[in-house]
Amino acid sequence: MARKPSAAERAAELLDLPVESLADVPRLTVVGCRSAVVEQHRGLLRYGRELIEVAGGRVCLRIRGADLELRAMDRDALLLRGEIVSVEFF
Amino acid sequence: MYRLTESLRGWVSAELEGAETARFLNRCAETGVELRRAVPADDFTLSLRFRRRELDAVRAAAEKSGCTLRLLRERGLPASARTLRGRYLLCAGSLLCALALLWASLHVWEIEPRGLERVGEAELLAALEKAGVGVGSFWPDFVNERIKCRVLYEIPALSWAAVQVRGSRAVALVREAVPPPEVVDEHEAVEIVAGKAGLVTELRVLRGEAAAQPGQTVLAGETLVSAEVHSSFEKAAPRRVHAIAEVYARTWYSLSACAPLARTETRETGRERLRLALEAGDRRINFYDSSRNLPGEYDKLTKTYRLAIPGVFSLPLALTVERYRACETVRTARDKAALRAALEARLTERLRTEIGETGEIREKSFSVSERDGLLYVTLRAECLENIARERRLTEEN
Repeated sequence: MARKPSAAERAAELLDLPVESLADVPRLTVVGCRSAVVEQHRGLLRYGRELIEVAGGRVCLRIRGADLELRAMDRDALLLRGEIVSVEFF
Repeated sequence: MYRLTESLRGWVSAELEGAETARFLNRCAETGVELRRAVPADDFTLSLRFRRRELDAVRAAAEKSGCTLRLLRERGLPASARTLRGRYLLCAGSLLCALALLWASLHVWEIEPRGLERVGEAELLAALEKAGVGVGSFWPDFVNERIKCRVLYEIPALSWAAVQVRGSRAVALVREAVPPPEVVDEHEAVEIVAGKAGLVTELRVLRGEAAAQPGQTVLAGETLVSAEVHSSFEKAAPRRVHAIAEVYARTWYSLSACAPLARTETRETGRERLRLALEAGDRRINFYDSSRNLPGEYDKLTKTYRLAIPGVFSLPLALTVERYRACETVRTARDKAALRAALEARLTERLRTEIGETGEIREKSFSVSERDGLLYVTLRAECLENIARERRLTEEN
């Protein structure tokens, strides 16, 4: 069953504002299939070579792939490198 | 660039073991610890790299996450500096070397003259020494204009001088003055005389009166073209001119040269001695007993190794290696044919110098004889050359 957008998300869409600035959702930027940046995250849930799960408030990410590694991480963003096969939201 | 900055800041490579490695990473992110290359080796092991100054924060995060942190390697400038702690002599020595290099680079240790043709190198170096440019001089004090004025005053044969300093090497650039050409006084009374004895074949008189004729035999010093020119008017007195003429005559030469038929050669016996010396500025320190002479005959080969980077700087320190190879003298006979050819060539060259560029060798022959262990070669030649020479007329003449 698809997740319903929150009030903040709907308001951001109506006002043409960046969704992540109002709603409690992460921002994912994928460059090709080798690099991904996750901003506004809430920490890591799982970390492994083939699976990384990132908490993002109302939405969590599950990134699958091979030789995944965390190149950099701070309070707001993290940078992942490796062979990204798929990204799931849960 | 990133690697350079990381090396300057220092980094630590470590291994984390525990069940909650993700929790450890979250804790590091919350406390602002910057982790580089957090690579999971397996589900419970993580290898990571972070800055040296964040070690305490990483340890605290590992402890709170229930993980074990094991340091593997520490690199960078802070780690290297820590190894030097306590090595005061090494630090002091390094500092001293750096200061010595800096001091040495501000002084001239080598002077290279360029542009010399007739003026001697020793003369130029002496003039530079008086101008304040010498071995050991402080080159920031050099003023090119002052050096140029002093050098030109000391050596009038120069027209320009300058000094360029590259590292510890001073290049003295000079230009020699071009001597002014001899000005011929057209009104001076000069006659043409024979420079050598010969048989006149041709006279080309441009100014003056011919006093000799083709076919006439003349001796050296005889007047060929007179400076007194008679006027076509009978009552007019003769006038004196600067005679100009070319007088070609047949001349004969007999030149001899000799060379020994045997020569002395040195042959190395295989024995060798080595002597070392250290040169510091003007001083020389011999690492051998200089009062003792080596017995027998030796060939000496000297090589100097200077402490310098070519083209950049040089220090006033040099190691001199003197290699003495023992040799014995042996007399060997020379090849007569080769010796004769060499002597003939030398005589021919000498003849060409005698007759000048305009002269021509018409006939030549060589005769050879041996006497008292010497080979004598005589050149007899007939030449055609310009024998005209100028002679100034004095009041008595």
